[in-house]
Amino acid sequence: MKVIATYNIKGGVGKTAAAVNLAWLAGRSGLRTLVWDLDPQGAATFYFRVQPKVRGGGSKLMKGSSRIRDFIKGTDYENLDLMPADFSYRNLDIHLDQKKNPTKRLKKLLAPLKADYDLVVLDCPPSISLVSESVFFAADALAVPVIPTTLSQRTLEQLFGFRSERKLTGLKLLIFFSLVDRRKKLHHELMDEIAGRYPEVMKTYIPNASQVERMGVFKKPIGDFAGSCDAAQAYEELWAEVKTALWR
Amino acid sequence: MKFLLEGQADRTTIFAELAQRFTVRPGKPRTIERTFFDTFDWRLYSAGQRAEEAREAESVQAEWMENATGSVLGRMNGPMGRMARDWHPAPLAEALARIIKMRALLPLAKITTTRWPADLLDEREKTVVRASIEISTTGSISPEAAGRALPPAVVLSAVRGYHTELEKAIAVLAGMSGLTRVQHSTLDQVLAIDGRTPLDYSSKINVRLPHGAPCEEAVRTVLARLVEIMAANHKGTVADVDTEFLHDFRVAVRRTRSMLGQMKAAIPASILKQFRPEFDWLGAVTGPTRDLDVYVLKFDDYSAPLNEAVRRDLAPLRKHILRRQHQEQLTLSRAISAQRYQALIVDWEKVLRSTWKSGAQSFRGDDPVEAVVGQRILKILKRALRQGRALTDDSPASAVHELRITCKKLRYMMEFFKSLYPAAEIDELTGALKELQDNLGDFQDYEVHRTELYRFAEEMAAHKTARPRTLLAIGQLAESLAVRQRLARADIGRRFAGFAAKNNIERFRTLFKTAERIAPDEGDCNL
Repeated sequence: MKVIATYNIKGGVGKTAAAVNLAWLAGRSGLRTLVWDLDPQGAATFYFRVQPKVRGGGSKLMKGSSRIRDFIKGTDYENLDLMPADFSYRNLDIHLDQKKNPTKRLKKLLAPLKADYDLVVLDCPPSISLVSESVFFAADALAVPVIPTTLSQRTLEQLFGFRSERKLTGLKLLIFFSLVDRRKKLHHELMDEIAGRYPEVMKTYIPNASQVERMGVFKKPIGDFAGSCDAAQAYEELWAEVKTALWR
Repeated sequence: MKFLLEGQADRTTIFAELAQRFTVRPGKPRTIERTFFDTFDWRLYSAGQRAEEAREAESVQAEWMENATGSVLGRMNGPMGRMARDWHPAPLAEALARIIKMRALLPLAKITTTRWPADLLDEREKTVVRASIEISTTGSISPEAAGRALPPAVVLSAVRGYHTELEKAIAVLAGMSGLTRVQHSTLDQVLAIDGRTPLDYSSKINVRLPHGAPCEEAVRTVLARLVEIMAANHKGTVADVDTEFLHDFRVAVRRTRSMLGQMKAAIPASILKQFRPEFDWLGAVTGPTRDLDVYVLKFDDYSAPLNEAVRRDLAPLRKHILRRQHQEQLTLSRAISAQRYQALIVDWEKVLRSTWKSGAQSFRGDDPVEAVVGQRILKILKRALRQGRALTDDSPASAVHELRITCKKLRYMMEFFKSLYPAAEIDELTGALKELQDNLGDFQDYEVHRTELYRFAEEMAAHKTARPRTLLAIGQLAESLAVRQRLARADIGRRFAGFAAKNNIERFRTLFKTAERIAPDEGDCNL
């Protein structure tokens, strides 16, 4: 079982869209896939039309008194299940802090699912916190969406700095550009510059497309309602790159 | 969950009833050609699963699912993967391989199903239950069972985490007249029509011998079962469907040879004279292919500890072994398709049908089976103990091999006549023996396979199919096998001590010691 987390310190960069679409493509390719919506906003849960509710909330789950398996919901798609968000996840840091080895907690919670899934996609809330640290320990790779802006470089530096500080050398960083406006010269320049600096940047970028926003209208992964649009094609190419990186 | 439709119930009324509790979103009707698959020895069915190939217009999908619920465990676009390694993606292939291992999936039965699907949605428009109404006609593998209609059925499938909703849907259907809830799967129904019984093959001996039966009769019963196993695996061995057909075939041959050797006191000399050379021949013609099969099956495990570059350099060796295996398989297929084999089996079956008589004084065919068997087992045990105790760190591999052969004979005897003894006791003794045998088997495999590497290297060098780096990689592989062999060797003492422990031997003695007469030349075991 491989674990990938969509993560960025910044919000609004396309993490959830990436988590949902990559997971859908993984499921469609035959991999038994689970999305865990760790963001209390519950956007991924919303896209799959599932009630954002975990009985007992994050507190019980982190304590280990509830079994993660009991809360998993099948989505409308074969091979694709969801561990829903819960509003109590906003306090997940506090619940984790009360545990021994809080950063290893998530990995421990995922361990019993090894036989059930080939891939787990963690959709993370933004910021660096105990939750994200826990995610870093649990994940084989982070898929990091980055908007091509000057500030993004700083965000990436922070992320690389954090990885080496915590000695997470095995954690792969799979960086990709998101919300790219192809008409903007600045976007192209920055993409070239950042890609030149970080070999971890993947070839595929996700364009800023209205179809991605429509995921919220249709409450579906983009491939299910606009499979031939540019953005859907971009996610397919991104998935091909991610899959190769994960199982290399 | 499945309901059979009878009488007045039809699609419209069923969906209308369900619509009182759910939003029903009907899908397009589909006609699907389905072929059910399992391994020859029913590995999926035994695990409560099945594999299905679904052909529909232009598309074809292979599915691996739970048999009772139809819940999909894995699915891939494309026709049925015959071996687990033919499935993709890789994690799916690995998960399936944990069940079917090295066996091929073979078609069991065919069916054409017209399916009217409908998703049952909750207030969020989320699918919480999948329903479908199915009308199926068999197109079975055997032509006489083709074209038979199965009763129309309503199938409800759970979506994970929505069991309460499934229960509600079940309650709706259970409350309707003209619907009967059933437990059996579509596969079970089709097999029944086709006249096939699930789990109708096993390589186990599985015979019930009557206590006190004449020894020759018990021996014939077991031998008849062994020839049945040979016959069941003959076609798959000739066609090289998968390695386990030959495995089971060869084990049945080896067991037959072992029985002819160990129980010769109960077999007339004329029969031994006629058939022992023939089964020896059969053992000899099946040996080389099986040895190479084992090599191929273990190749990945053997090369796993080596680094990636060395593993790459070994690719020509694997190719060479596969080529050799193919050649040997052709020789084997020809041999067991020829008149000599056919005649052997016909004559053997004939001989097994009639009571064996002999005027020889040493003939014990009329003695109660337990008397002869108990004595024989204790005698083999005594030999195994002698050989095991004589082993030292300096003993040659051939001495370990001799112990292995003796243990195998002992194990076979215990399996042949298992039904004469209390199951728990004989199983416990077999378990203790198996621990030792596994170790001895590993040691011997490493010995043979390590030695064979030199032969392969010479052949490849002669045929110029190995570059120097491949020959060096073969050297590394040989060294790696030698290390494993030393580890296995180091463990023999401990395992043998466990097997030869006083209480274990005492249990053997209690179980097999007999008050019956013992031939003066054989003596008691004094264990």
